[in-house]
Amino acid sequence: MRLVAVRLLWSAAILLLVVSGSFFLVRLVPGGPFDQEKVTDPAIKANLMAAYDMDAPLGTQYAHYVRKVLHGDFGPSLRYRDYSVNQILAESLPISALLGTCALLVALAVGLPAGALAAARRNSWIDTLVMGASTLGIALPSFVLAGLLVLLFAFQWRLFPVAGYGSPAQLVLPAVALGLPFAASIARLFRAGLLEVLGEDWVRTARAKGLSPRAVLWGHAARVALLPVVSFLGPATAGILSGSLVVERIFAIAGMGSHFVESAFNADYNLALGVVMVYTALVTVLNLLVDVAYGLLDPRIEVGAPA
Amino acid sequence: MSATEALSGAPAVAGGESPPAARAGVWRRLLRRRGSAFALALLGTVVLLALLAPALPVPYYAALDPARHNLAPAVSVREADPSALRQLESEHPFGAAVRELAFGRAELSGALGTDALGRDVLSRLLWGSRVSLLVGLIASLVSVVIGVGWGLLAGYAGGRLDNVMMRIVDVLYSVPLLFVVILIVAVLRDMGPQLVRFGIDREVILYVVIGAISWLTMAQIVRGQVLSLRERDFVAAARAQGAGGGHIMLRHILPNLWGLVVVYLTLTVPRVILFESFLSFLGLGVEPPGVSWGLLASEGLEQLTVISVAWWLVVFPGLALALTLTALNALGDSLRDALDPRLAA
Repeated sequence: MRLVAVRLLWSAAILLLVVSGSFFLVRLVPGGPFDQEKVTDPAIKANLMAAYDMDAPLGTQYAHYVRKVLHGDFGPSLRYRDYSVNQILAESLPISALLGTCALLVALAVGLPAGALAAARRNSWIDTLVMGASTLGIALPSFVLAGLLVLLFAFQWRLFPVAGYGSPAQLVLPAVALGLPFAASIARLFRAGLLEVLGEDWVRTARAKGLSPRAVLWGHAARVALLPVVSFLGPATAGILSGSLVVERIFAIAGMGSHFVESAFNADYNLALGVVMVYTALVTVLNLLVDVAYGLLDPRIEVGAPA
Repeated sequence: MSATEALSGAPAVAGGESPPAARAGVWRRLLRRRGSAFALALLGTVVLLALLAPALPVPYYAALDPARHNLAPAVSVREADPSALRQLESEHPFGAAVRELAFGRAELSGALGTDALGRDVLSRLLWGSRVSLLVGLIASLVSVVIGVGWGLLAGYAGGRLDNVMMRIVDVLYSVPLLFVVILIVAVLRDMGPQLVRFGIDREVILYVVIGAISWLTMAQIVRGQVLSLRERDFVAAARAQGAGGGHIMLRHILPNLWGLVVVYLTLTVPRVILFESFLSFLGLGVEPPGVSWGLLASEGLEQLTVISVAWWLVVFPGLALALTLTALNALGDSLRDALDPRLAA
């Protein structure tokens, strides 16, 4: 428990660091988000700057911003004039979360059985096939994979819609494009973990007392072999979140990823900062959850013991 | 400067064996593995093609060809556009001369199809490979310089400095760097005109920013190695002779790190290339008329419509990226195994 508290404190510190860093970074830009080709009337511009709290000294702006963020207010969007960043996030976060969860499920649903199969049939053609595919999968950029999937399943065979968001069918291709590269890593880790574990004494004991190979594999070996996979889930989640930047754009999904890229393009810095913050919070919290799960799964590790 | 050149000089220092024997052993072990010889050959070909791009008989773009708009792959040999050749000559005199000698005025066109503007995909891929590989190599070298420096200093200094430096690495690990990088690149793009005056353009920014976020693993691994190296007798001997800390780090410890560094350099290059293609894909990396594999894949995806399925615009850049990255990963893995069998997963 103490460890969890300490970790939470660390996460808060990291969050503050990221926010501050990004804040001063975007304020470095000369001019401002309201510079246009057409010269704006100085009076109008002054009013704009005042309305968006950009006329105060930098330190004051920063203090205001942090105070507002602590109250859960990310300020107005600089681009979508009638929206606040909170509204945009509230609309897009569930979309990205659903997509990310589906992608993670795809990664696990493909990766674990593939890894188990490769380990069970070690050195057979199945093993070679799975490992070859995973080598390719790890190296394949998600946008290339997305392009190939669209070509095959949307244009060639017309099984799934090309893009968009709303129906479950529209979620299939983006989730697969996002999840498969991580399925490749998971298959690899699970196979290596199983192979290591299957040589242990207690596995032999389980086999010796007459358990079926299936029961040994899934009931005994899998639990320990899952550990590397569980610790990979942290980086995998972070990777899926960043992968969603391109995948959401390819499939025209209005999630946080596409909002972030657009906000960076449009100098909509309030929105960009808001998204960065949400992502950082997500990643740190998920990492914490993964560590806790790790402790629960492995009896040898005690959660809360001094690291 | 190429990936293969960097590799060939590398395995000279491996463990405690004498250099020539170690080198032979590493090469033998490397080539014995089924995949790695193939990966090495593939990478060699890619690097060679990239270097030779100006001398190869593919269209060079002085003018676009509206007659060849979005054509599917079909090889045709035809006369090269004279104005394009003149341009090539002024930009790459040596390559143009070689091309003239070897192929005359003939040129291969449309072998991998053409894009929406009538440009030859093969030519774009070849020129794009130069950018992708160069970014990969330079950004990786930047990350090596930072990572090795950081790890060396932390590991050798030890104590509180080590603690602080490694804690910083831990913190950076949990920051979603991709997002920060996109912000940085976007901000620097807005500051572009001022920076160009100092000779900093988009590509330099790419090298530095990508390199600056890819050094974390390298720093951790180097530190671990330095921690064990600094307890060795030859370091104690050097210290007894009165050598200073800087001298010991650079002359005694650094040379013993090369094997490790080369392995992780090989593993960093594909990550960096991937990163560049990611940024270019989002429109934050290489800018047209420049071209990189990521940009090509991005343009190809934009071209995908129900009316014309120009599959070759997506498949060929994707294939180039996937093959190169797979080969680099495979090579890095087997290099790691060959240099130090204990590290094998």
